[in-house]
Parts: sequence; C-alpha cells; structure tokens
Amino acid sequence: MNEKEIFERICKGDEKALEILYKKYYRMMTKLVISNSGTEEEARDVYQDALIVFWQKAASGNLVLTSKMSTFIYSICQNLWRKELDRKKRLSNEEKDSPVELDTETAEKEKIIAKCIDQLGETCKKVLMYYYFEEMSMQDIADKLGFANTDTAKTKKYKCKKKLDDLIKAQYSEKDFLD
Amino acid sequence: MAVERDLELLDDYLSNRMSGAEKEAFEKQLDADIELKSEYQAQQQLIQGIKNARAIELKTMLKNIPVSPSMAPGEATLLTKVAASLMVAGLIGTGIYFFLNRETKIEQTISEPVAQTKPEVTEKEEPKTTVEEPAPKIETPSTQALEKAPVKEERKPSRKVARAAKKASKDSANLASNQGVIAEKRKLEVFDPTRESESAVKGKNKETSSETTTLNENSSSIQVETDATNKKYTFHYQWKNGKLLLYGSFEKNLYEILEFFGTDDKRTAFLFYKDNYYLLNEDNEKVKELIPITDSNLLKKLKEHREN
Repeated sequence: MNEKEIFERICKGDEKALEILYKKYYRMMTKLVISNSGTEEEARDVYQDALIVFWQKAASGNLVLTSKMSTFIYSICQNLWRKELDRKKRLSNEEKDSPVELDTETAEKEKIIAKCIDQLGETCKKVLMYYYFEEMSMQDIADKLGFANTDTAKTKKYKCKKKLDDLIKAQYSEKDFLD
Repeated sequence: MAVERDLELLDDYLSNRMSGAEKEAFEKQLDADIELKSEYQAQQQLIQGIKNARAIELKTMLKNIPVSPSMAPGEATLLTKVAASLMVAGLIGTGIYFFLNRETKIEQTISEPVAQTKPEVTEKEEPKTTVEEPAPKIETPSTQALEKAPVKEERKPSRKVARAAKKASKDSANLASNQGVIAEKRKLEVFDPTRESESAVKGKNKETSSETTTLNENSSSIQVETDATNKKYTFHYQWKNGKLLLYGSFEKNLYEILEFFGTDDKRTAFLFYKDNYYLLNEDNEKVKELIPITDSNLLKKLKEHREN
C-alpha cells in the first residue's frame, strides 16, 4: 500500500491503515526522540500521540496535506517532544521550589465522566467518539456503524449523549449528597 | 435554563461544526448568557472526556501493535543486503586485480630470494579476555562471493607462512619433509599454556628478538592473537590494526596462516585449521565468521601450496 492509499483510508477512519502507517514509520519517528535524549519508551509514546493527532485531523476531513505524510507526522513528533522536554524541565524546577498543587475538583469530575462513558454500550460509545473525536459526518458514522441512514445516526447520537448527560448528573448529585 | 435551540448550537460549537460567522455570533451570545456559559463549561468537560476516552482507546490499539524495538522490519534485511553487496564487490575487485596481475606474479615468484619463503616466528599468543570494540558487527559473507574471488587468486602465491599455536616452523623445507614430526612437536608444545605465556613475554627479550628481527626484515608478518573467551564469537576472525584476531579455541589444535602476495604486495590470507581452509578477508575490521572454502579447484591449489 502506498502513502496515498494509506492516507485515503485513514481519512475514512480505517484503523487497519493506521496500524500499517504506525509500523511503516516506527523506526524513523522514534529515532528522532532517541537521538534527542529520549528513551525508547518515551519515543514510542511521542510517536503514538503524534499519530493520534494526525489520525484525528485526517479523519475529520480538515486536513489537506501540503507535504509528504511522513514529513507532517515528523513535525508533530518534534513539537510533542519539545513540549515534553519543556514539561520535564519545568517539573524539575518546580520540585526544587514548591510542591505542585493539583486541581482535585477537576480531576474528580474527569474521573466521573470517564466512569460514565464506560457504562455506555459499545455502539453508543462509538457514535459519540466518532462524532466528537474524529468529527465524522453523520453519513460516515452511519456507514461505519451500519445504520440505515443519517437520521438514524442523528437520533442515536442524540439519545446516547442524553444518556451520558443523565448518568453524569446522577453521579454528581450522588456525590453532592455524600458531601 | 438554556433553551433546546441554544443547547444544539452549543453542541455544534463544541464539536467544531460551525462556520466562522456562526461561531462569532454564538461567542457573543455565550458572553451575554451566564446560564449558557455554565452549561458550556460542563459540556466542554464532558466532550473532552469523550475525546480522552477515544485517544486512550487508539493508544491502546497502537501499543498492542508488535514492533521490534531496535530495528524496524525491512531495515535489517536492507543492511545485510548492503553489506553483502559491498563484500561481493570487494571480492570481485580483488579477484580482477589478481587476475590481471597473475602473469607478472608468477615470474616474480620464481626470482624471489629463498629468504622470503621462510616462515617467521613472531607469533605470540595470549588468550584475550576482552574485546576492545564493543560488540562489533558480524559480517557473514555469502558463500558464492567467498568462492568466486579466491579462484582467480590461486595462481600467484609467493610466500607461505605456517604457524602452529605456539611457534611457527622455522624452515619451510623442514616443514615439507618432516611434516609429521613437526606437527607432532607443535601439538606437544601447545599443551603447555605456561610456556606459551612465557614465550610471549620473552618476545621482548633480546635472545628471541634478534631472530625475529632478522626474519621480519625479509618477510612481512601476520601477528595472530586468539581469543577463546568470547562468548558471542566462537569461530570467527577479525583484522585489527593489521593484526589477525582469531575467536575460538584454536590453541587446542594446529592451525596455519597461508599468505599470498600480489605485485604491489597486496596480501590474501587463508587459514588452515582441522583439514579445512578459510579465507581471511582483509577488506575491513569487522568480525567475520570463518566459513570453510568449498571450491574444489581452490582447495586443490591451497593443498598443493601447503604441502610444498
């Protein structure tokens, strides 16, 4: 499969193509981090995150490639690794100065949301993920999940979102009650 | 409470489904409506949660894809291919060189002084415990390439250096006539490792060095070291700074190094060990596996030269 084919399949949200792409550039991308004072594990982490960013942009249909796909992914890796190096540097400075204060309330809310998403059915989860993360069109969601038409996809998305809202509200009130 | 229409707009706004103008208008509305703003914050967090969950899902999927950590598939084979091609090119080049020079060489061989045919005695043998270069790459030459080039070289041997594990024989004539006796003698010497190390030290002494110097004037020598302790290389060789390093338990048996010289003194060396001949390729300083020569023509020639 050539670069163009891989890219086209990724734009359609084909996860198999993402797997092929991952293997194809693994060595090239991880080398960037490893040769810039990163470990193999950090390199893998950065490359995976970079591919997810790429995947999200491509699947949403908002990405027009003006360079080679590898060049584009390479630049994402570079940015992510630069950010990580900055974060590490900041962290070591903060450790010397004062302990980091964690926003416990936000962290708690995030936890509740993650728990509620987990309680959703597989189809519901996928509909919401494709809609909000990949930003797929209703037509693409219908095609991917085998719905009859876009209206079914719309209704499904609406219902799943409502269900998630309700689950979260229930969790919040339970928490408030306990507090 | 925010109306249904506003919530729909909010959802479009958060899922990036608004045009520039729509976005601007909605942002103004958002600034003016406190209730809507609070709903916006809650929904933003929720949608971020969905996005995070999907990113984690994708990451888990990528993590489960097996990828070799040090070398991606395809790259290893490519490297091997490049190394093999270089090797073949080198061997063919040497072969052609020797082929072109073979006529002149034969003449030279005849006119060469007797002194040059003498094998020399400078071999020292100390079992090495460490290899200086960390994990040098093994280069396995293709059998095809190995057999090709030496066939062309076979006719211009000018000099032969025979070595035993401890000491090489001093006279090639003796070697030819008393082969059996010498071989036996060498074997006896080999079994005494103390004497081996003594002689290596003595190499620096005046008594032995006088003889060595005289011989060195007449013939170039190959300094050989053996390393029986390396776990990775058990039957390999390496040229290092002009010295030959043999990996494996060579001290247990008799081995000989055969040298052949071209017109400009370019050397081709072979190892004779346990009834087999091995090409000692001097193209680079990598550790190479010892592979027995199978070409019958070349074997015949080597055998003839070793016995004469």
